[in-house]
Amino acid sequence: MQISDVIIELFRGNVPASLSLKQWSDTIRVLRYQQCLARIGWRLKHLGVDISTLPQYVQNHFKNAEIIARKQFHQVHYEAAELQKLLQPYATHLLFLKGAAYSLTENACVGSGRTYSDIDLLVDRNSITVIEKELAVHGFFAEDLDEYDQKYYREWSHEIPPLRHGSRGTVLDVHHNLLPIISGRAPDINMFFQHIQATQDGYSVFKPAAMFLHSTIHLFLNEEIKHGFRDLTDLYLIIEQYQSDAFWRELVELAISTNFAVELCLALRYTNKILGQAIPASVTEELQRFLPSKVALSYLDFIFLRILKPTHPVFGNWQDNLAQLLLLVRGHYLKMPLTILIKHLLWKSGRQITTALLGSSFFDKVEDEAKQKQ
Amino acid sequence: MKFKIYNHQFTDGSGTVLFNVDSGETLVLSLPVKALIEQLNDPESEIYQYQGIDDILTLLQQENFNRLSSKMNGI
Amino acid sequence: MAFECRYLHLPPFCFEIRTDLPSVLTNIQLIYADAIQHSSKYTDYFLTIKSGSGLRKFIRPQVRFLADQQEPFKPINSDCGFALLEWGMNWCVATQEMRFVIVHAAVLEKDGKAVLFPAPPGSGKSTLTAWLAFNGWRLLSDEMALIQPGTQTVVPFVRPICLKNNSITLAKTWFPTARFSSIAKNTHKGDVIHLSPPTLSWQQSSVPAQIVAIVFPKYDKDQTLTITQLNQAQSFSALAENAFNFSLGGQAGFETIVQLVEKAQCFEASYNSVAELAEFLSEDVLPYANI
Repeated sequence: MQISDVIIELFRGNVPASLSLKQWSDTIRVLRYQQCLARIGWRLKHLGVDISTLPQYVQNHFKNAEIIARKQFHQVHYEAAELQKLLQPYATHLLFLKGAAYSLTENACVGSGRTYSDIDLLVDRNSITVIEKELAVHGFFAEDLDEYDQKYYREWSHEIPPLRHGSRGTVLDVHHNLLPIISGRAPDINMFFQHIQATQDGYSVFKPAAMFLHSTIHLFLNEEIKHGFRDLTDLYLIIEQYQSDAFWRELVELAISTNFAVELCLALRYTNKILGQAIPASVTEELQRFLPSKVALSYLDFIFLRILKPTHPVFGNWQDNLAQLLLLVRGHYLKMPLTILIKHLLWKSGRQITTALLGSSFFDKVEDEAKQKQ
Repeated sequence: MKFKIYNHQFTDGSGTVLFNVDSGETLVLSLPVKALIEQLNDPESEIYQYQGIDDILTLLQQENFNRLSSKMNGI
Repeated sequence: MAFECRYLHLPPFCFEIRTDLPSVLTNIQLIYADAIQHSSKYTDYFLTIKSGSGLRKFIRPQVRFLADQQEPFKPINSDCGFALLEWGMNWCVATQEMRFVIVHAAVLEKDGKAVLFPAPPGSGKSTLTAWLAFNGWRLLSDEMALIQPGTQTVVPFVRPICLKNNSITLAKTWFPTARFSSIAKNTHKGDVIHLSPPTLSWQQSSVPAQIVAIVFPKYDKDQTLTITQLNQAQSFSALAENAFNFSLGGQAGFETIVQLVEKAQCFEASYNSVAELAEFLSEDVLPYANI
């Protein structure tokens, strides 16, 4: 059995009989790479699987991942409280997005066992400058990017680069829309602002339908998908927990009105094909007209049926590599106008050549913290 | 969400340690919490000259003073 | 060299090591000997030590460490390959193994009782560790004490002792027949060498021990043996500074460190003679320590 299939079975709560220790070993390796170790550990328990029947070695790694995830969960709550206190006066809207939102929404299954590296915030565009200043005063500075990347962020994307807290190491991504303006796909953000809810602790997050759509947009319009399987399971878990007539209605309406119906089709298609999520017939019918052509679909299937499965470079094949490359091209194409795209990609491949000639550490500016600690 | 601050009085009476579970911040004090509360309740106390007083106050802000001191009264 | 693969069974973990550097392979074989296998039923961490890429390979050869697909360190000179692997293994365990409370310390056991020696760089800890390991004490670990949460039990994680600069000559004089790796010159720690502990450590690599004492050593060539007993608040401060991850383990991690300082005897020891310090521990500490 392929490791990616083992993992999909585990997500469904089925422990394949007679898995060798070597297969478990590979499974743990891929799960760790996909940042899904804690999620699968949680999922098995949630579905009533008795973890104590698994090999001790497997239990150990699930335990490690669980502790790390729990710590991140607490950390995010702590950070959110600090950020809310700090930034509330300056923003009409202050929303937590993606991973942070999952963890801050009480009892959200999608937040269990979830790990992530950045905290994503959505604020009003006209507050961004004052917010960046305020964050700087409290120790958040733009990560050490070279001039080119900074320019990319500020001038081309109209975004600010990720901000890192000096001593805590937390990385903050502050956005004013769900996509960069230059992509031409950035929605009227006010439409999304109609779908906000307050968590028990008073944080603003998207309601489930909007949360689902945002994750969909993020997944299908990115040039780089680092944790495709994890992101797919996010989508699955949101549907599983929150689906209702109201949920589906809100989701379809919002997707159509903000011009993301195609992406929604893809999201539902792959949660169904890969993870077996049932989609109501009425929803499929309503979205039928937005489904890409057969030819386009086979191209997209080639990419996404590979990228969204739990893959790992060591276990991949040439098709997986091709899928990655096609994704890169597609993602960039979707986000940037062609002329800018060519310049951007040329520079990136220029860097690749330099990296190949002189080694990848040529671009590193920062002294390695880990080594200093030793 | 209430932030949990654990406090522990060392069995040899040498002091107290406060630990914020969420942020991982730890503060070791060479005096029992009861004494600390008494000092903090006295505006003239020398403790306010202490360099690290801000850290202590920040850590304790998240927990109610009175609740903390009433818990300690039993020890 | 084409890539070679070896499995290091270092309880409680198993590492897969892939390398294309002959010097790394030689050092592994010398230092780890019986712990090496050519296959494994399961592996906890997949590590690679490989020669750097690109043109630089010919100007100043470099070596890189990868933990699966992650590269946490910058490359260093290729004659430091084995040292990089050692640091890489430490990094892996320190960042992933949350089921233990990990303290940056040496742990050695005698008469069934273990002593923890937390120590920042420059305290002479490794020289002390080396001497004790070859003079009647069993080494459980040189750098990372793995403590089971809620207990004072330390689980061995036997690895070579990392010696720096002047200690290298000293150790070679003391133990001429011991197994030393090649010297890694000019690392960020200076010159570094790894010394494989005696057979006893390797044989008992799965035998845990109870910590009865915590000693903070400070080598000072002008200082004869001076022992200062620490109270619990002092011990906690000093220990917490060396505990990598107790705050990650939440309440359980915190309570483990608290109980450790309350149950064990804690000392600061300034010394200029390892033998004298060892005698103090054997005669004045261990016999009075109850498990």
